[in-house]
Amino acid sequence: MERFAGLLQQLPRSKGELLRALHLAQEQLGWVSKDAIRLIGRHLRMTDAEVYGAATFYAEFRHSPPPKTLVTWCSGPSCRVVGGDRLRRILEVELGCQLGENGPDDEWGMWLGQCNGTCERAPMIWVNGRVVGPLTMVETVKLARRIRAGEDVVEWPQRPIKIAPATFVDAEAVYGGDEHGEGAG
Amino acid sequence: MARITIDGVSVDAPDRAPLVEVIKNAGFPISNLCYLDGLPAYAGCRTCAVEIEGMRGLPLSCTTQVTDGMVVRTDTPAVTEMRQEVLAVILSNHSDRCLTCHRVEHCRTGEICLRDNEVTHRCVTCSKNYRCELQTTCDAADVGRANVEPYIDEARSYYRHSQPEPDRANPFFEFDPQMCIICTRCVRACDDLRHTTAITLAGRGFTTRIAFGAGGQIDESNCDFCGACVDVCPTATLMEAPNKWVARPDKWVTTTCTECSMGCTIQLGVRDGRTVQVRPGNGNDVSRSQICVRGRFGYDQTRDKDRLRAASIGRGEDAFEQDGDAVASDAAAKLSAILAEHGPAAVGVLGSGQSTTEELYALRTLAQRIGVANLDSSLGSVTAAIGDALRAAFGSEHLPSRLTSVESAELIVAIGDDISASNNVLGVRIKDAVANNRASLVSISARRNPLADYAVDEAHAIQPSDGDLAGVAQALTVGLLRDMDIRAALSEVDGLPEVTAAPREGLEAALATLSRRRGGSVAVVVAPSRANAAQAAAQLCAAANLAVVLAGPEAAPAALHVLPPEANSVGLRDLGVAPGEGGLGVAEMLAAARAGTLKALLVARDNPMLLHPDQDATRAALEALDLLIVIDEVRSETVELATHVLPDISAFGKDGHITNADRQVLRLRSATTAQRNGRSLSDWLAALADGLPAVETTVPSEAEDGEPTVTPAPAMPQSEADARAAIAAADARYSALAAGATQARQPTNGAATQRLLGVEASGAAGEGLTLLTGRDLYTDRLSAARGEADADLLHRGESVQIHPADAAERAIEHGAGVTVSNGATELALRAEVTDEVPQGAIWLPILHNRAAAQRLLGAAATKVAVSRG
Ligand code: SF4
Ligand code: SF4
Ligand code: SF4
Ligand code: SF4
Ligand code: FES
Ligand code: FES
Repeated sequence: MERFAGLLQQLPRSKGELLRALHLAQEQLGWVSKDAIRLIGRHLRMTDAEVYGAATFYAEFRHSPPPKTLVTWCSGPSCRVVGGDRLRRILEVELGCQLGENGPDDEWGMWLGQCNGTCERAPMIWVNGRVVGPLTMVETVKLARRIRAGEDVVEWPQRPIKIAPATFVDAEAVYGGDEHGEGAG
Repeated sequence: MARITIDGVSVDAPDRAPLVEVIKNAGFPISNLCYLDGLPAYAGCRTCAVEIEGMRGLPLSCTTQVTDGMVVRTDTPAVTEMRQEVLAVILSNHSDRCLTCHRVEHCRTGEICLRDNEVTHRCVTCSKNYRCELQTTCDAADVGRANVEPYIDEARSYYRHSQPEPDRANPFFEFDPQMCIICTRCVRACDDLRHTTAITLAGRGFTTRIAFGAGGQIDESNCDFCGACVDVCPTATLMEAPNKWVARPDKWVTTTCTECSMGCTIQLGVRDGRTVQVRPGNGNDVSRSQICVRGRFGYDQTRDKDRLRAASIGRGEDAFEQDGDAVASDAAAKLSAILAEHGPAAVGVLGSGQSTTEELYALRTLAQRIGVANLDSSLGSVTAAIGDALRAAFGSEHLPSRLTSVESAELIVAIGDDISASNNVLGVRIKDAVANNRASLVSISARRNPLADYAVDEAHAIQPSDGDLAGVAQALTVGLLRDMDIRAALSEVDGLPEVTAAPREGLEAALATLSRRRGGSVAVVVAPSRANAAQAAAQLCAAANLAVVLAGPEAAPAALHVLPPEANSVGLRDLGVAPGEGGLGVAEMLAAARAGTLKALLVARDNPMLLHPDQDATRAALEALDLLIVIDEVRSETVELATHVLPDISAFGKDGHITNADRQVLRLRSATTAQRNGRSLSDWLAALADGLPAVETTVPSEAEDGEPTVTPAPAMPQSEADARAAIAAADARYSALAAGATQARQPTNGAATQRLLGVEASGAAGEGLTLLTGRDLYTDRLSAARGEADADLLHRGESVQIHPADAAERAIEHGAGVTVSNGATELALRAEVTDEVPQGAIWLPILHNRAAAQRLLGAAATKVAVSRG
């Protein structure tokens, strides 16, 4: 926090610096905390609400602290075309929290991730930054239950890759018809 | 002007006016759920659609500007159908309890619920039932309660999602987001009308929602509980918490808020003789649609059970309740005896800036009748200092300045502890000038306050660390006048210590801005100290000087705006509730009481224990009196020391006028019934006068053996109207008063001269931290007077603010107990460690804990020692 506060002071005191300040908070703290919002507002001469409004408009900013076990769901096209959305629903049900939220006591949480090019493992998630996939539905349920039980899932066995990555994606099929479509933003 | 046709009726309207406003003003019903008069259209709800000849489709009337010859229809089938569709979408995610009960046609008046439906579906389960804009909009469009079902069974999205929890954590208003239709009126009210920006539209897409501050509870945000958002919310999402379920008033009474010298016009919603709701009203052209938390919610903090409900005789343990007339005649008899034995010099009278002009006239008349010249008020030294400084600067206290000009000024200098707290609505108008008019604001305040973010930049929010606002303002004047740099200018102000100059870059920047923008339209706003007359005088002189150098000598009187401490402080001065010839002022009266030469004191709605510095000395003075007659509304500490107590009624039950800081003469109207045994101050004064001797004044003739001139004792006014007529007869400036005017402006008697005055540094000397104090926004005056623990319902103004560096030096932690001492008196409080106060100073809210801060304050600026524990 102190480091963040120090770096923040180096930004010019103008509202135009808001996005940079928010990125700085996320980088330094892992999330945009209320304290960070307050500090940013004070430095840029904005109110908390102005900062919060912007911070919640952009999906990349997180509003809860990094959980102990962080499940990052990949919203990329390859994962979704091979059933990523079903992974997400299973995780939401089994972990009892929505995308972007943490479970009780910040023990675990599920956040939104963007494709980082490991599509050969689609559908996949990251557990504390480590790629886990491709996952079947049954495996996902098991994985989620082990996370809930507080077990260490770092050693989750990786299956050899069987599915070739999709090369052509019909955008309509990926994004259309999904009521949670906003997750892709 | 444009002439247009609305539903076949021809209507004149200003060219390019928003069509929706024209339709409303012409009296045609039109739904406009997201529109706010006077602000740019948001065009989010689409319920304001109309048909316009020659235009395709159904244009929105809120985004359409009027042009000559326009032919508008608001009631065609296409328009109605569109409105119904739009409302169905809105209602699909609304808990439309009032619209879905199938019995609603039968129990329409809303008074009785026939309980023929599931509990959660009855109209009476929504607190906004029968006073709801969404409800009337649906009714007008035939949606819901009549024809068009807004939903298909329980499959509406409202029932498919878990609804967010309501926020009921603060005492003032409730936020129940499940009722929200995301019209964003509240966001724009808070942002564009108040410039507080405590509300935001958070998230986006399907998760869009209204959020306060950083997404937490309302009371954790910078919301100042003005209630502007509650006024505009068309649903039950934002509701006043007090009287939430009963606030369906029988009548609305327009009157004036007396909680500060703005005198905002308020409307009281009255039910069964008591206030249940307050809204802003039309009248005061500075406040217009805005009021503050004190005006809106203060009424609820003192109820009839908290008022004095019996007259009493005797002090402390010996006090017993008595019939009011008996107490009044006993008090009059004792006072007559003292007058007879010791003469009028042994008697004092204190009035209050919380009284109406009519009451003050009655009080002054009473003092004259009995020949008493010792007449003043607890804040008399401060108001006299203000008056004297204005006379010295401009030759008159009646400045021609208008507070309405502040919002259109180009350059504003705001001098005062926290204008957004002491005179909240003027703070809003200053922000208006900056936000809407690109005015440059220089803020001079020891504490960081909500105006700081509106100053040109951080450097222009000057925080003199020794609290000497006058010294800094004078240094700016000297710098401008002699074209000096700020260092040289500071050294020109006598006795200004180096410490004031701490934020020197700020002063340099401010000096540059002032010299660049001087000469244009300038407003110097000063809210002088209410605790220290010498500082108030210095601040006034410095502000007047600054006005002269910034606006030029001719325009200066119109550029200086003074915000005195109490609602009717100006009326009190104008009426001459001040020491008569040879009479004593308040401080001298209290000293004379301690010395035993003043025997009796009549205190009319005033409260020296709360308002006069050096509380312990005040207590000793009041205890030493043989006779202390107090007429007041609540059991204040002054009342507790009284020998005779007479219960006054609430300002909401009074008829009369006040003169606000803007010299507007504003009307108070009686709205509520008096508490048991309560009578208005004027009635009590008349009752006292009945038992007191009337003294004629005899002036010896100039001629050798001529007859002396004998003036008979003035007659007591018999009623408020009588007082008004008498005041108007004596002073032409009050001519509007006799007519019972709602609002008139006193003509000024012109500013004849102007000159630059010397200002001496008035910072505190000695060791320790400078004690700063002021009126905070949230502490209720009457609750503080009666020692209510919850006088500040938000508990925002209950601690001593101390700078982190000073706190660290003394090992004081945030929230820990501290002792503040001036050597003689100690005070224990909690510490709030914050960089909002400058290093080297602490700040105490003046009214907290029955104005305990007054125990530390003396006549001069004070330094205190602060320690842990
Ligand atoms: S907010 Fe208005 S429309 Fe909604 S349930 Fe309450 S009264 Fe009815
Ligand atoms: S009460 Fe006033 S300050 Fe608070 S959120 Fe509403 S409009 Fe803004
Ligand atoms: S809280 Fe009220 S005013 Fe604000 S967006 Fe919701 S319905 Fe509109
Ligand atoms: S600004 Fe003053 S007069 Fe206006 S509502 Fe607030 S306390 Fe009352
Ligand atoms: S789409 Fe999921 S990793 Fe590329
Ligand atoms: S009032 Fe015109 S769209 Fe809402």
